[in-house]
Amino acid sequence: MSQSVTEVARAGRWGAIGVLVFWCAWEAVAFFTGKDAVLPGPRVVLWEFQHGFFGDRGLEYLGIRHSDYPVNLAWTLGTAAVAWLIGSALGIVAGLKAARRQWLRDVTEPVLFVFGAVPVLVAAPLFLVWFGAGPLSKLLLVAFYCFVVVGVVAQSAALNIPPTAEEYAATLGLDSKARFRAVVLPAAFPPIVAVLRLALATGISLEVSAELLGSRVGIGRLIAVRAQQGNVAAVLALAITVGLVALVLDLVIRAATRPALRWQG
Amino acid sequence: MNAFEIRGLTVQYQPGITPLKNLDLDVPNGQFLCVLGPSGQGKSTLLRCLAGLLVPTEGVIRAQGKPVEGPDASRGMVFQQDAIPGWLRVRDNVALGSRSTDEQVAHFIRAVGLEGREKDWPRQLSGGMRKRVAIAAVFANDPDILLMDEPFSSLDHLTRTGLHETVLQLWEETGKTIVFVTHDVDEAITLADRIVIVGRGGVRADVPVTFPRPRGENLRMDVDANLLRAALLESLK
Amino acid sequence: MIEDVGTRRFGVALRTRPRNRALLAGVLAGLVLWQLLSLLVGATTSQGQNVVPPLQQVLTTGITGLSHFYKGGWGPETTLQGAEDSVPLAALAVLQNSLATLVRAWAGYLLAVALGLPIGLAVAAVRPLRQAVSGIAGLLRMLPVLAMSPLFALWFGATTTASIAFVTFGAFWVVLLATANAVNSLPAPLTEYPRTLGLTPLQISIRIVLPAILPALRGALMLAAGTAWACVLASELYGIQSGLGWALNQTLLYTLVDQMVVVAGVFAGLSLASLRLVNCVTGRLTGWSE
Ligand SMILES: Nc1ncnc2c1ncn2[C@@H]1O[C@H](COP(=O)(O)OP(=O)(O)OP(=O)(O)O)[C@@H](O)[C@H]1O
Ligand SMILES: [Mg+2]
Repeated sequence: MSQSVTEVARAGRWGAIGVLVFWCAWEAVAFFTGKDAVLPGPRVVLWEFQHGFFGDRGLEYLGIRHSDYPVNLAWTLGTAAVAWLIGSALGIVAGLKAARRQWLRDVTEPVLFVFGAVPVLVAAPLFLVWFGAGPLSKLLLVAFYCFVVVGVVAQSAALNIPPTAEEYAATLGLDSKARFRAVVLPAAFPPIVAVLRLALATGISLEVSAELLGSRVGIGRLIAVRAQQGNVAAVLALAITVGLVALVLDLVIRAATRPALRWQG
Repeated sequence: MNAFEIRGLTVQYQPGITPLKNLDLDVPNGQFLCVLGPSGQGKSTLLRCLAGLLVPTEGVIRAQGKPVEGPDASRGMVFQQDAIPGWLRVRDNVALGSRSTDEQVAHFIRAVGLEGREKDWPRQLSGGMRKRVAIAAVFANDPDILLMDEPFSSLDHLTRTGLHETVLQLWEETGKTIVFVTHDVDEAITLADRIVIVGRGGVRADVPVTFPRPRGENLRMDVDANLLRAALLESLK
Repeated sequence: MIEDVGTRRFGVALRTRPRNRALLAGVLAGLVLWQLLSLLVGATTSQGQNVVPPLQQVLTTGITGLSHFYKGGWGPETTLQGAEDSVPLAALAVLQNSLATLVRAWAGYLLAVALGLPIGLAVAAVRPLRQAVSGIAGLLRMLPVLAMSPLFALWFGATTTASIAFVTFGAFWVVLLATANAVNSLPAPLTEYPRTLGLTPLQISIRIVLPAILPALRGALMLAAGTAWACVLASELYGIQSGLGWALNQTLLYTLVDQMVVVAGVFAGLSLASLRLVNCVTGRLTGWSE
């Protein structure tokens, strides 16, 4: 027990050192490149972040009403988070049930088979035409993506539960509903948590890239404009900010699910 | 009334793999029946059919006069393999059954010698201890019939002797029917009212065991017991 | 045999299985649904036919309209030079852009595997190094990678190089992390035993560790392939002037839903086929474990 704690601490220390080394290497490469327009160093990106955080007049001339970070972050991550919640919830239920009911498997199989292998981004243009440039189109797109990713994993997790675990519960008098709650759900929980974390990270990525294609608000919209201006530092600042907020959300998920995963050791 | 009436029981997994063929057997209520047999002769298959986990290819099984249609709490089963859920602490695991009461749970945790380990996760236990958790869970659920598939084969001698006493005590107190699968002849002689040898798809031998209880060590010296042991070993070949 | 009876009647631990019939029925149902939707939307709105074009339109103008994505250089004249829309020209257009996309996706993916696998093996051999790299990857993993494709267009120009570099960037981390983790979770005796036989570390890496982690790597190689296809699409959607993603972006710009559906279908087919291929090849390589 105590050994694993020191092991975790050591991993954390080396992880931090890795990030630090990465930071320094980036600074060094940027320094030797010597052109902030091509490869801005971390300090330039930080400056850009501070400068743009509460909005930028230049962008407002270009017709962007809200150019500050907080509004756009809230917009992008809010949409993605709601979509993630809806899509994942549906995916968990559909995936677990489809592992036990053949008719449901038959219904979900075509969708999971195709979009388990085809990037959902390919449907983004169609969603934009159908549901407009507002948040609805991205919400549906990301929710659909999360549904597929989580559904595939939940299904295979439920298929991989050893049959004796359920049979044992049945001989103890648990009916199928009770077995679902006492056996299927907890047994499939660890892989589901892993895929929920993956779906959140990639779902946000999908949300931002869909905003790149067509949106009036959102971090993706800002990235598109900044990229058109050739402002690498601003693009990096925006992307890294999204990444950091996503990291915080990821930590929240991990903390929230940790008690339920302790049995694995 | 009979706890089980088995008529023409046939199980075919695949063409060519037919561990049970036309097996007939009656198990009266309150009997302690031991099923002996070489490995791979369908003992576990028979028990799974009795529990209602496996639908026979042919034949009928009646429990207390009613056809078996799926597993339920009246027939508890201790599995041959490790089956307890890893995400429930020892106490919650023993309390998993739909009929279990707090009192029974506490009693059987003590009876299998797991006091003080109630808060442990299964991964922190040894294989034998996990087996004892499963046994306690089934006992605490208070089934009418106990199906036990080589429950003690992974335990040390002392623990096993202790659990033999626990099972016998439970059996004498409550008069439950027990079907106990084992490949250990001595264990069968110590526990059973009746020993049935399963082989080549059916019942090879059906022997009543009438030694007075408690049996224990003195059975080793008993001439009749040794004759029975020799006879059983002979028919197991 | 018995399983069928058993699952139907008792079904304690019933397991469903995929059925090709269901797959086929699902595709047919999708087509019928689309047609019904197009009739419904067409009847109720003025722009309906453009928003949900009926199948006959998708299969006619949706295909021939693709002709203008043919950029010339392969013999026939382009639509800009005055050629009429036609099926052969559309076929050329699809071929030309599919080829561009395929090359980018596969080159980027193979590069990512070729870099990620050996680096992953090397990194995994030294524990502090593995933990340091995990720290970096844990951060990079949360970046909105798909939205960073414009960066690569800024760095490399709107070229195939930019696209390949972006695909490699996206898939590399997946392979690297999975390799390092797979090596980490190997049982110790596996490498200790060959060491007692006198194999060198390099020999152990190639002959023992690599085959041993392949089963665990299989999922990661699939994930990386999926990532590669998402990345190639993202890079073509924003900035690059060729490939299926570019064509898709053009159909969005002019709201040509019939052509959009065809292009998306071709892209989906290619990525599906590529992932099947990866699945098949990795399955062959890991055959010993099943
Ligand atoms: N699910 C299954 N599918 C196919 N064949 C099976 C299955 N379960 C058991 N068998 C086969 O049926 C036969 C009897 O198996 P069973 O487990 O009932 O034997 P057993 O008497 O319990 O043996 P042991 O003493 O080793 O536990 C064996 O030949 C086995 O291979
Ligand atoms: Mg058995």
